[in-house]
Amino acid sequence: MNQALRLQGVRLTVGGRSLIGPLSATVQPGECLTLMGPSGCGKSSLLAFMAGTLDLAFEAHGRVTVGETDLRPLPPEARRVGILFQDDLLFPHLSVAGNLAFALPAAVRPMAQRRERIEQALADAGLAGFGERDPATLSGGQRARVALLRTLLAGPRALLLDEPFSKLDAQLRDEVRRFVFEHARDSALPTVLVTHDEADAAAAGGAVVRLVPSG
Amino acid sequence: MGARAAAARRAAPAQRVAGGRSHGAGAALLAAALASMLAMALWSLAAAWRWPDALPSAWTFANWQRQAGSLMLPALTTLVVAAASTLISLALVVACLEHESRQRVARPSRSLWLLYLPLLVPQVAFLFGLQVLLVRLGADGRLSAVIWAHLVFVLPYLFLSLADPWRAFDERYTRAALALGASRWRAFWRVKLPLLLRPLLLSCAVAFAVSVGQYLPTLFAGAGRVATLTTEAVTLAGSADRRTIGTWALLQAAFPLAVYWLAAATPRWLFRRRKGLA
Repeated sequence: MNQALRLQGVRLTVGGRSLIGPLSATVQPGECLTLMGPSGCGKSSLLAFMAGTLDLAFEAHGRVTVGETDLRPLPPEARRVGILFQDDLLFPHLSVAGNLAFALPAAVRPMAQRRERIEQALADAGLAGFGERDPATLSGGQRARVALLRTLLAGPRALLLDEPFSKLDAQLRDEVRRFVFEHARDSALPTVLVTHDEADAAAAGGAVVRLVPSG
Repeated sequence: MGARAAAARRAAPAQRVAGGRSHGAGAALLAAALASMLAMALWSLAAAWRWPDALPSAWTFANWQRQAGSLMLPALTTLVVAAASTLISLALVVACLEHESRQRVARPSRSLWLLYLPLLVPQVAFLFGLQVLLVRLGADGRLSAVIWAHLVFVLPYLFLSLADPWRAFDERYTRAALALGASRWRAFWRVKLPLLLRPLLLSCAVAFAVSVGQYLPTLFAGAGRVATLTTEAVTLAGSADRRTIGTWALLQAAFPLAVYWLAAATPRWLFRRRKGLA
């Protein structure tokens, strides 16, 4: 049901100078493409371009499509592309359940059904009963898991990971990594991972593109 | 986190010394202000207070009873003008700042001097011109004219106190909300505004206080026909009856104080179970 994410000739330039690209790749549902490269080479900007939040200082060329849908003319809120950052960015003014409910599409109508979906997602992640908790009281690993749950509840058709494990300590990293990739595979989402860490790339198990700074 | 940084960086209320590090000077100023308000309060309840007594020799509510009648309308006018100018300024400032952040423009410095102008130029210098304009338009003496005149001063203060916290907001929250499928409006209303509630309310309190304290603009734009607590209090100050002055001054100070308290207490109560916004 989910379709492949395809990048065709994607290139980012800033001030006329080429920053990154051209990059062409196809990511099948359930697979993960890893982008590796030094800091500042534009990996995060590439993800921002795919998510629709690219800074105005950059110029972007090329196509991004999910199945038949061209993402470029769509505003970020219409693209249905989930993104996870280094910081979990859980909304501090909402409870855990509130954060998850924010992501649930409005189409999921009766309150009871919404609550059920949230409870199920939490139970699935081993966080049963955490609904009313304040996100600030959760541990790093718990927050990372809630962040992923929130992203998945929105029903994305692709998943972008912007070094989401880099702020976790070694042991937690392993756990959360497994959690994220398991869910991405189960939801059959084409995933793009940006990272420095070789272990992340190994866990992703997909194609690896090494980016070199141009110029 | 963005919200905490924003809360930490919010503008200090008008009464405290800017910079925050000079706690001693700030505390001294605050103590002086509180002491004078206490004196006003005592005077308003005094029947007779002669030097060298430390406290009034006789207490009474008669001062308040006598003034109650004439207090009501100016108090109401003060409230209405302050609320209106604050809310209008808020809408304008928020629209301006949000537009700025959506265009991802670095802080624009070109028109800022225009914003500061009413704060730097002595009021007497340009209020006369303002009144001429209002008379030409046939609009002077009306409440709307007074609100408009207050806007000229309220808006810069509101902008000044809200601008830094607003620009310090971590836009990644907005981006996260958009990525989750929320519309721009929902991301703004449900994520950005609640996270900026504390600086927003505090700037409103500052704006409110600025409006309550305006004297010349009320006089000029209202052509003397619009009476606020401040205009009446200034007139009464010449009467040398400290009991009456005490009553009016206390009420005049109480309004901004109440609004400041509300502005500080509301987020604390709303986010009482949210440590991330403490």
